[in-house]
Amino acid sequence: MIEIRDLTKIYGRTQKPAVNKLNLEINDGEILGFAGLNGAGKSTTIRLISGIIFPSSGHVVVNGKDIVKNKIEASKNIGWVPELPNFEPNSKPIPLLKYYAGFYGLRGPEIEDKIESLLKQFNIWEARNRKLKEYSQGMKKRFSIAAALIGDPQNFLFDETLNGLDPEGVRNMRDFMVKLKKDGKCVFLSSHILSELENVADRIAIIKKGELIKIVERNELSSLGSTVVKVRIENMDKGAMDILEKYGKVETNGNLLIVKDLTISSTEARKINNELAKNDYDVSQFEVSGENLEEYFLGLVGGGGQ
Amino acid sequence: MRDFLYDLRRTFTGKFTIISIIIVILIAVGIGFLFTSATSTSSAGPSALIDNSYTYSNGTYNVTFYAFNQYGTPAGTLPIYTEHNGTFWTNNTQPNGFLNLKINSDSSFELLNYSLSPFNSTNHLDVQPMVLSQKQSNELYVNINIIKKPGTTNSREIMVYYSTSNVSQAQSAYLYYKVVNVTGNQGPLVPSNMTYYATLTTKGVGVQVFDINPANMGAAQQVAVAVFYAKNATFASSEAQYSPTSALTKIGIALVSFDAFAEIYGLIIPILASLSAYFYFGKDRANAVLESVITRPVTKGRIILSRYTANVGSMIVAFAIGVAIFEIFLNRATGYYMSLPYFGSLIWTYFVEIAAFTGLIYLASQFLKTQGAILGVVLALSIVFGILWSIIVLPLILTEALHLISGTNIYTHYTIILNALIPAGYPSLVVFYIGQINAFGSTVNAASFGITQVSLAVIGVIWIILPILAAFVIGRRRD
Repeated sequence: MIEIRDLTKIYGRTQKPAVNKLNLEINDGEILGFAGLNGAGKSTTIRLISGIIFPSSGHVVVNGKDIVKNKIEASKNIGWVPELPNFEPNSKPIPLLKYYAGFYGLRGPEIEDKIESLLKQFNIWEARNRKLKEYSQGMKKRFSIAAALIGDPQNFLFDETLNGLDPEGVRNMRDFMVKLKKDGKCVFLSSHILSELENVADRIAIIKKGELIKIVERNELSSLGSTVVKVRIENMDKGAMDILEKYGKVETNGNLLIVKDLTISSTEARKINNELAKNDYDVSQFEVSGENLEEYFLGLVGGGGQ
Repeated sequence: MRDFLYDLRRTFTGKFTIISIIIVILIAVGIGFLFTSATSTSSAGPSALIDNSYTYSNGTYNVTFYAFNQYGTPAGTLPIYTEHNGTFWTNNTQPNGFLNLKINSDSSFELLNYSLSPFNSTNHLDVQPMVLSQKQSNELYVNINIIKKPGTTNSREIMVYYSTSNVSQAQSAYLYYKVVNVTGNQGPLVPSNMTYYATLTTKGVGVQVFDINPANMGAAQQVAVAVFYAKNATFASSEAQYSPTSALTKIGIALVSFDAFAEIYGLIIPILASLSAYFYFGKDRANAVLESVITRPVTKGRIILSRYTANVGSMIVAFAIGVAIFEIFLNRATGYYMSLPYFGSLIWTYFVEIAAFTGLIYLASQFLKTQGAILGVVLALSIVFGILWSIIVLPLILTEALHLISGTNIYTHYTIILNALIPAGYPSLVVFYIGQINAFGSTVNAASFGITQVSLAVIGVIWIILPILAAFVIGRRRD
């Protein structure tokens, strides 16, 4: 479990906070998506949690241990998978994993077996004798996951990990994160591929200019934002448009008509379909829904950048 | 501990470390080779030495010359010019250094002149007269020559030339020695207060080399040797006094070696230590490789210290190997090893310089964010305040900025202050202390300039601790 309390990071005295009084809790057995535009403070937050950089104020508590005051104990339960993994380029995977394992007090045949198992699990066993600088970006990412797992941490930080992966890689990664969740691990997934967050996250925290502006629960995803009506009419004419405009603002998207800012409640939206049918319009699609995550996200953070 | 060992192994087996070790060893071999060449036995000096003797029998003087170089090696095919009663000869020595001449005369007194150069003028300077007389003593003729010990620069031994007056009759003499003080009353050289060493027996001419090297000789002591025709003789047939391996010579060799190493390695340490710190820490920090380590259960301070230890350790080992290789050359050339205090002083000097430059790069890496910036500092630090420090920068500061006159005490004083302020100056301070000689070759009392063992230790400890301590304190709390 990771608790983030009033976390603030200011890089320079004249600069605005990269992260400002952030409060979050990521629970065991949960995947928390972390969404924000570029520069919103996602990576800074993850680097603060992982202990790479120090907070200006506030606390990160990992399984009850403060990442600053009790770095060694807190770090035992952190597995960090960066967007662009940087490892010692001339190292080979096995010695480097042994090196990492040493920090967890792991040694002997047990760690040899574990390393072999991890490298096989992430399909880099065959490349174990190659230097890491010879690895492709995808291989480096897989190696970084293996490296994150070496100490069997309770909490995982994925920083834009899905970037640059091919579709199979994305699917494997998604499956892997879901498995971690099922194993009771706490997963913090930063990404701007919102569809992926929608697919796996239990909650999605949206950050803008270093500040948390919204946490979306999974059960809210289907009814985000204001209700809209999407209608497809085969024998469309001005009369149909007149009917729709009585109920709200009409936008077109190809043959699809979207009625926004409804003048009636969402529960009464079926009235629109009834009236169209009464006037002999052939309605092939009628859907009452909220905005999708992307629309909702852009509605929240769009326009001002970050 | 595993992480520390990994850092150590990684640093030791890193390309840069291996290249550094090769460079350091090659330099040691180069210095050693030059040193050995300078003390090679093949150099016998510009002119040969000559011993001679003769016998008389039935109206013929049989004259023997023996030519040898300063190492006692026979000088073969050496022309010897002789003149007797206005007749000139030129004869070459045999490969064993001997030349035999016969002079037919029944006179009881003949004068034979000989020279190593042609008799070409009346003012010929190196003509040596040799008196030939029928009335020779029945005692063995002996001449003790002090020669250089082959393979050494300053060690001495003796080569005794002896011959009988009658080739058909064997004669003997006795070689004794004693250790004497260079100054003060040495007492008479008689067998009763000397130590017997060898008996010389021959029928004809004998040449023998003796390496008399008593143990535990003091710096102000020498060996006196004497040959007596009898063990109860009251005076010596021939005697000599020399320093077989005098303490002064030993110190001289050690000092020359120390000076050369301190200065030459002192020049390359800044660049090697700085680059090593860059490759194994600064670069990793700038390109975020260290981040994958920092997220482990380890503190930044621990990472700094373990990498620093590996860095400094690998460099020290490289330089210790270099010095050890030079020791082999030194021993082969002179028979000496650098004494432990000198060896220890060298390693300490390198340790200070390596630790200081490594620590300074670790410190700079805490503030600089790019590899280029760190590399820039590495080059500036190692070139301006390293390689060029004692050659250009320091003299320029002293003469152009401070307007000091070279050779003066105040110049030396400021030299010491500035050398103490820059790690590249530390070897010069140690050389100054050990040699008690200033930059202009004048003998000085280092203590009068504040350079003592204690002050050197304090300056060294400061340079070892301060940069890495600052890097550690800042690094463990800095992003």
